[in-house]
Amino acid sequence: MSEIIRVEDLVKYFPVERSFIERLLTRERKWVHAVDGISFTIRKGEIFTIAGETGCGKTTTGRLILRLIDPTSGRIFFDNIEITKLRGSQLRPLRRRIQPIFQDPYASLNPRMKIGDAVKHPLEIHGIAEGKEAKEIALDMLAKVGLVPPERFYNTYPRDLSGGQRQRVAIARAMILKPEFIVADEPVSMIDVSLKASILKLMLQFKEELGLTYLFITHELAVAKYISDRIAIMYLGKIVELGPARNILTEPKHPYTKALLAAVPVPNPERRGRGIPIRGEVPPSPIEIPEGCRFNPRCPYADEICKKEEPKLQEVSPGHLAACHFVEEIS
Amino acid sequence: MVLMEIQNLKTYYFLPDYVIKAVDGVSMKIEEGEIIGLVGESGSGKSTLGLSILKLVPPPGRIVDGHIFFEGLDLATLGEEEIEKIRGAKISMVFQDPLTSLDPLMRVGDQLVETILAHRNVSKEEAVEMAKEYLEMVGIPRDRFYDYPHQFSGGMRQRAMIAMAVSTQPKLLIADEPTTALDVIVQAQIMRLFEKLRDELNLSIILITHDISVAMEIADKIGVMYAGQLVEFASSYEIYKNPLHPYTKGLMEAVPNIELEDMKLNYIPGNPPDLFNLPSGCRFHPRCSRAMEACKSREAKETWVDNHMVRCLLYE
Repeated sequence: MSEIIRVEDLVKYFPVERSFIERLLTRERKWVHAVDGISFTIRKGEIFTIAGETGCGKTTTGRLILRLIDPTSGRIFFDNIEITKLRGSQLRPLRRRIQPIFQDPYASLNPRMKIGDAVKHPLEIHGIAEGKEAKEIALDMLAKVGLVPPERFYNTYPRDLSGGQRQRVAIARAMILKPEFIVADEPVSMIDVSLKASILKLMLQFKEELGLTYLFITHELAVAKYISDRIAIMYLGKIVELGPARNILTEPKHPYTKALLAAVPVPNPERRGRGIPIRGEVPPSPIEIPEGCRFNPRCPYADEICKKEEPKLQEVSPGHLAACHFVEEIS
Repeated sequence: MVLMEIQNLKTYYFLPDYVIKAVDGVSMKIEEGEIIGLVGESGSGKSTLGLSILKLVPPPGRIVDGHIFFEGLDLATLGEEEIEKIRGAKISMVFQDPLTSLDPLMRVGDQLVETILAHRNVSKEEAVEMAKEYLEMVGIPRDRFYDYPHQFSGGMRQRAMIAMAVSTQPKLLIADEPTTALDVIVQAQIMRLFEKLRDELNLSIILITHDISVAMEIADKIGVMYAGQLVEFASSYEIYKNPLHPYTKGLMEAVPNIELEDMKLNYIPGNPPDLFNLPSGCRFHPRCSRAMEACKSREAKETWVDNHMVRCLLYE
């Protein structure tokens, strides 16, 4: 299968804000190592999920690929073209082919813009259609995302809609340009559970219709399970495990993935009392990254080598990679 | 032993143009040492129910009917002065965001000492020692007593809030979305902490959550709320094995389960109703796959079937 996205040794550091006094007293500038050297490819037509906890770098990775922020180093390829260095108007054709869907549809929709205007706006910006034609396309799209009758929704404002309906508007706006690749950052995290599946199904429906590829970013592994082809688990800016969704979820190899999976609440009271194989409760700060393996201070299997040497991602079975010195011993 | 009995509780918000019936006739019994999971989606009234117990409902909301019997008192009718003796003392509450409840300018330990001194008849030295013990009980090392809230992680702040909440020796702890802002590993650890506190202190806990999976992890009983009403109330095992109300069934089929092989995920059509513009009859009928003609006009009464309280005409 051909690739649509290739990321090579991508790094993003953010400077830590210092007070005036701190600036006078210290020469050293501190950095948040949000993304700290990750490489992966996304294949055409797949749903590639990045999962992890707060601060693991998953959202920054999405923003880098969307080219909303510049990387510190590393390279990003879209459809075999390097997009890392593109700026300003050079990015315009890209914006048409790559679209984002964010977590909070209320924050990503202009509260003073009518739903219909918001949905047809991209058509006008990219000079694809305007006036009556743009309106027709927007109405079709509203109907397609389940906002029926579309004429009624066309003239409403975001505040008149429920969270689920607003996310449908955000999806309509993302899909109206018929993109090839979508970065969806926690698209169902704020959606009530009775409606989550309806939004996921809508995303899958567009995938079929447009032959889309998704980068799906989530902290909910149970949700990731339902739609992912492959999953990458991030911890403190690094990918610690990557592979087919089934392998990651049923035969996790990295100790962190094991702990993360054990902690996912299960709606079955017969499954209570599972142990969570991890020490401490919080990842160290992404400013002071631990030496060696970054998971070693919390890892129940950590040994001397883990404090000195950072493990590399290595293949444990075809297409399944894990970064752990003891990957053979613990599985 | 029954610790609290809520009878036909109604809490409404009176807005200029309409009335929001956030809690509309809820009845429930809470036993000593029992963990109740109160589950519902946004706008189901679960948080208002929690606030009603302590009479913390912000205006223009107020309790308009019903009773909350607790230790021979009816909390629903108590005045502000009397409820203050219960609040934080016999019944404590923790919220989603511990930062808004902790004073950022005061050491965590001192805040705990202040709480203990306000509620218990001990000396300052004893209170300091007790504070350190409570920190340990919730999994915070004693030497973090001198830290400020900003030096704590989100999970530790929530643990500190829980320490404060139990330091007054309450009978009941109301936890409103206590782990919603936390990562999944911390969430699991806090749930284990709630279990431990229940076991060690014989504490009753009402865990208010949007996530039925979280409730299934620790609750003895689960109450499912929909549009201001309790539509089903039964043991967690019963709710898991044999949900009766069509809404509960729909919810159980919609909740992602990481352990299931079968990759089906369903949803409930439509949207939850606006609480100021409720459907006629059963509030769930516009979304219900088993709705009958009668459901459009008649509201179901609370009915007991196989140890479930269920509010649905299918069972009347």
